[in-house]
Formats: sequence, C-alpha cells, structure tokens
Amino acid sequence: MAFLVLEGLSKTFGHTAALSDVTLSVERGELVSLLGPSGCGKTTTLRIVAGFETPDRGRVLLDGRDLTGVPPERRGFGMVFQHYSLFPNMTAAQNIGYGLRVARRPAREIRRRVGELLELIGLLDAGERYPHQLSGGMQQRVALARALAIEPRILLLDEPLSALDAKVRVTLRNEIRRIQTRLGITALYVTHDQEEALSLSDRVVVMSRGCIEQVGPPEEVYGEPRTEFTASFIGSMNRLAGVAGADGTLAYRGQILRLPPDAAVPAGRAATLVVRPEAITLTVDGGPPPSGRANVLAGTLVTRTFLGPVVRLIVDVDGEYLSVDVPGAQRRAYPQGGRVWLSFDPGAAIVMVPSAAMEDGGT
Amino acid sequence: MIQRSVVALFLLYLLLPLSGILGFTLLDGGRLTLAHYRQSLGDAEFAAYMAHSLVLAAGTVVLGVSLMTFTTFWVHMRARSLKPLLELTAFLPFVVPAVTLALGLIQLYSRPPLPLTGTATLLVLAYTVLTLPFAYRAVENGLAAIDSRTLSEAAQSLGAGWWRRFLTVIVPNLWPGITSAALLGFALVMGEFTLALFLVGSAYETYPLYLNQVWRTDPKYGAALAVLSFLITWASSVAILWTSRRAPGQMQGAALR
Repeated sequence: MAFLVLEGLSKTFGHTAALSDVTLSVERGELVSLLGPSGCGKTTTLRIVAGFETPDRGRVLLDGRDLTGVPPERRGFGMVFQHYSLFPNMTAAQNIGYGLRVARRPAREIRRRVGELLELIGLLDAGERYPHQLSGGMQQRVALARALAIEPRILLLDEPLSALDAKVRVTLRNEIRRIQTRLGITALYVTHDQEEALSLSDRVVVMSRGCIEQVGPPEEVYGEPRTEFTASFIGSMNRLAGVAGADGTLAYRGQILRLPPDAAVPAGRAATLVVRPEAITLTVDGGPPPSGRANVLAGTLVTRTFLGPVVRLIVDVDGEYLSVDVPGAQRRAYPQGGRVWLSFDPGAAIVMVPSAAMEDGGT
Repeated sequence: MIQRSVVALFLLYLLLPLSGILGFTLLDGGRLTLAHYRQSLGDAEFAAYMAHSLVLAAGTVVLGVSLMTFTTFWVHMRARSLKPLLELTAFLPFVVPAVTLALGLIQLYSRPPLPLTGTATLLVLAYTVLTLPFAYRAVENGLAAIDSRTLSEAAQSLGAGWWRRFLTVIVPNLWPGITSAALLGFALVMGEFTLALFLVGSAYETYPLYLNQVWRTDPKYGAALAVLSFLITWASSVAILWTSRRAPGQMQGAALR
C-alpha cells in the first residue's frame, strides 16, 4: 500500500463543490504536485491532508492508518504556506526551533538542529534576524526549515513560491527539490504554475473543478495529455476542431488532415486534433508544399513574439490563429505578413473526442 | 505654518485648563507655595483611596483585556458568524449611560444569588464592561493586521495546541494593540466617578470620589489632588508602555506589516 492515500475525498463549501471524489496515492519519498487553476480544489485537498479541513466524504490514510479525527497538531506534517507565515515576534532561529520547543526537546538538541537547518537552507548568518529583516525568498527558506525541523512524516507546500519574484522562484524551487531529494521526504506541493510543477515533481496531478484530470510523471502529462483540459492547461496547444472522416482523417476548414495512426474515431464524429507549437514545422511559401509530412496547412504569418530561446509565431490559417515555435535564432527567416506552410506529423498530434462533460480550460 | 498653528492650538486647548489648575494650587495670596501638595503627604485617606483606584484599575485592565483578547481571537478563528454580535455587544457600553448601567447593576446584584453591591468586585466587573469597546477595537485591528489565521495554522502544524498558539504566537503579535487597550482602560478607571458613586460609594471609596469630597471643603487642596491624580495616571501609563516595550520581540509584530 502507498504511504499516503487519499480515498474518495469530497468537500462542499456552501453550495459550491470544492472537491468531488478525489483519490490519489503517494509513495514514500515522492514529490507529487497538485496543479490547476485557482478554485480547482488543490488547496482544499492539501488542507484536508493537513487536517485544517474535514472532508464531507472520503478519508486520508497514512501508512495504512486512517487520519480522520486526528487534529493537525497531532499529524506531524510540516507545512509551508503561501504567504509569509513566520512568527514576527521570533527570530529566524526561534522560528525554526518552535516545533522542537513545543515537543519539549532538550535545549542543546534544539540548538544543534536549528544550526543544521540554517546551514541546509544556506542562511547560517541570518539566525538572529527577525522575519521583517529578511527578504521574501529568505523568509520562505526559513519557513521550509521550520517545517523540516520537526522531521515531518509528510511535507506540505501550499504555493510556497507564488509571492516571490521570478528569479528567486526558480532558485528556490531547485533548492526545495534538492533538499526534498536529499532528505528523502514525502512531499505534496500545490501550485498553479505549470513550469514549477513540471520541473520539480516526480508526478503531477492535474486538477480542474474539484476533480483530478490526470496523474503522471511530468513528461507524460506534458506529452500525452489525456483530456482537453490538461492539454490546454499545460503548455500551449493548437486545437484543430473538425469532423472525422472514414479512413482516419479529419476534415478541418476545407482541408483533410490525417489523424494519429492509433486513433479510432468513428466517421462523422466531431474531433479535435491537438498539436504543440513546437511539433509544427514552418516553411516559407516559395514553392510547393513540403513533402514527407502528412499534414500540411497554408497560412499567413501574423505576429512574432520573442520568448528567449524560442520565437512564437502566430499564423492565420483560414481565420484561425495557430501558434508555432521556432528557434530564436531563426526569427528573421519569417517575414511578418508572409505566406507560410505549416506541417506536422500525425503521430505528433493527439486526438480528442469531445464528450458532454468536456472541460473548457484556459491556458 | 498652518501645521504649527494647529499643533499650538491643540496644546493650548489641552494645557490651558491644566495650567490654570496648577497656577491655582501653587499661588496662595500672591506667593508661590507647595503647601497644598505637602498636605497630601500626611493625608492617610489620600494614600488609601489612591491605592483603591490603582487596585481597581489594575484588576480591570487584567480582566478586561485578557477576556476580550481571548474572546475576539476565538470568534475570529472559530466562529466568524458571531462577529457582528460581538461587535454590537462590545459597543453597548458606549450607548448605555453610566447612570443607567449603575441602576441596572444595583437591581441585579443587590440580592442573592450574587449580592455584590457595595463590593470592589462588582466595580471591577462593571469597569471591565466599560473597557470592552477599547479592548475589542484594539485586538480586532491587531488580528486583522497580522494574518492571525495563517500564523495560528503554522503553529498548529508544528504541534502547538490551542493555548500554546494563543499565548506564544497570537498574543505577542497583538501586543501593541493590547498595550493601547490597557492604557485606555487604566485611564478610564482612574477617572471614573458615576459607577463608583452608585455601586460602591463609601464602602470602597475611590480617588475620584475622594477628590470630589475634598473639592467641596478645601478647593485648593482638591485642585492639588487633581494635579497629583493626573501625574500618577500619567506615570502609570508610561510604566505600562515601558514594560510592554520590553516584552520580548513585541515590536517586530508591528514593524512587519
């Protein structure tokens, strides 16, 4: 049995269902992130695990033991909050030692442990400073050390980086991953930032409207989204909506595209071909359409957005805007307003057949 | 320029009556004298009644402030829906005139099961009610300023139970608010007259009652006692401020946000 098991969790606030039937297993030493837009239920899930909320239905099991009715202070889970939650009346060192003082550990042991943790987070000199004398990033490091001090059975992180600026965010998320791996600690990490989730997790749980959309390693969630919501929420996606034909084809805006080889869509059904911007190749329209790739569309280059390593080109294909990513160095090869060919391998695309319960997610 | 004039006018407004009284007590037949102040040194009643008032003020501050700090925090964390009720209740003492309150309390506490009329205990309880509006406002503002819910949850996740969270995390960070509530409560009790007269009277005479009595027979000495009362209240307030400033780490709470 997995170390942490969430079993059919449901929770309603007033008339709003915050969670419905969330089931998830987390293995020992694993970092699992809960990813989704605000209001998707990720924080509620974390707060139920922490014991701050009680589920209407379902239960949380730790190492096979039911935690229902165990108050947060007896669960032994360390938690890092979104907003700076350091006790303003205590120094960094006193903050880190708080849980140990509560547990009545000997003073000498507390001093030693606080020292170790200050070293672990790289703030050995900042122990005597008060929270308001620390930067946001430093405060969150101290908050992490404070949660780790009690040697928690599980580490819970509730958007710990969302209040920090971009550069600190990247450094600190690598730091969190390094420390988590080194200590072999089991962690549940809530975030709305897909890059954060993909870069530091063993597995990502994509959530929307109180339900789990998909669970899997980052590569899988990114590369093989199983629902339209996952596809649109993680990374950028082009959605080519059309009607399936008889022989594995899709009629899209008067053109015939090939569906992926393994797709089995009954003829006449509405279907959407989902393609990542980096899977599309762009050719300047100087001659015949590129051969060798099954799916080719003609369009006009509308805008270019420089994103650093890549340039995102927006191409107007018969009234619909599609995104294509090309290496930043090639940005001058494609003149604005020029005619271009878009081509992609059917195998690089995913087909989605909309159902009644289809999610319409943002990006 | 305008700023300075405003400040000057304000000071004049505050200090003119005081300096009037001060002058009245220091001048006797055109000569400067400290005789009226010296008189208080040998006055056993002065010392006794001042002690009464100080005891009442200290009791009220401790009871009122701790009661309101705990209640407000509890409602803030556990029973948000009761907040409007608490707010309304806390402001009632402002609405009900002291005389009405006194008569009501006499009605209620003149017979068993709680025959408290004429005791210092009843006076402390009544004064505690009077200080509730100040204590409530100060604590409520403090709670809103520090994200008390997150702090409390953080302490809870680290294993701290309710009282521990309240005493080690919430109270120290509310300290500036608690201090100002204590100061206001203290000053209020030191000058309160109506409730003391009606509820206890001569059974536990307070300083303002004594002042009133002296004033009628010996205006010069009465005025000197008023000045002394002002100085003692002021010194006590400074002492409260000073002790609270020295409470561990309390200023960080105010400095953070």
